[in-house]
Amino acid sequence: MKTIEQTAIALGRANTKLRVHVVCAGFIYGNGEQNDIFYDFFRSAWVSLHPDLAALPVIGGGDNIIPTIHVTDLSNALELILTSGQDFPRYLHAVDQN
Amino acid sequence: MEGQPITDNIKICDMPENKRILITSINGLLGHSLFELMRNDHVCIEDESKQPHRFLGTVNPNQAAGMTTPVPSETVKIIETAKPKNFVKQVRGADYIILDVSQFSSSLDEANQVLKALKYTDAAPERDQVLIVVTNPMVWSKTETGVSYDDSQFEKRVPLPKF
Repeated sequence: MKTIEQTAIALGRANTKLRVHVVCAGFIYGNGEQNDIFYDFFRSAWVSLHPDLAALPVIGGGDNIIPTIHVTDLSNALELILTSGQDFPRYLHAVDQN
Repeated sequence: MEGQPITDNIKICDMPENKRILITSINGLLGHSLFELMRNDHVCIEDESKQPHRFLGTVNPNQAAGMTTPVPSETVKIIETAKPKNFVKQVRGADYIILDVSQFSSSLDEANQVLKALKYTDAAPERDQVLIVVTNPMVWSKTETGVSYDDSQFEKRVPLPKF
């Protein structure tokens, strides 16, 4: 995946008619959880009446932050990059701030 | 409360009309969301001389959460890497290209073919194009922790071997 990022950025440098941006997006969620990022977590929460199944996993010390972004926020960000005409950097991060 | 009449000139998305937009894995979560945000079918209802955006896409056949999601609309023209000449032609004909490799099930081969088409080794580029590559944070997984990075320091990222 890093190779694809590097190739895309190199393409943008070589071709003046091609504007390239790489957006490193957090893990995408939203719109009914069509992807399976949080599926198991939500399922565990939904069956919370059962004391064993309700336990949500804690990884490490529990103070790590997973970068995420709602799919609608990401779409809005991409649309802004495409159409605003602003001089955005070639590499951007798109993650939730809260 | 009085609602707005549907014939009002409301822009759903502020892009100029009639762009060709290519979205890879258009049947994915991001593809659906982008399609709904950018579609502007209403312009030809208000004014028959106007043309709405034309959407092209590729389909990710891999299953997510136990099901294969459908393409958001039948109006999307699906292109296939199995037909390389047509694939290159359609990629080069797009104004905006959104290359979604953020999902773990995304095809990196397909992404490479899109980039290869945009190299223009056999012809000169004819139009201004915008390419956005959407990746995920795994490309930063092995980067030194405890240091703050900003967008301009992307060369320092270290991915996991698989990424």
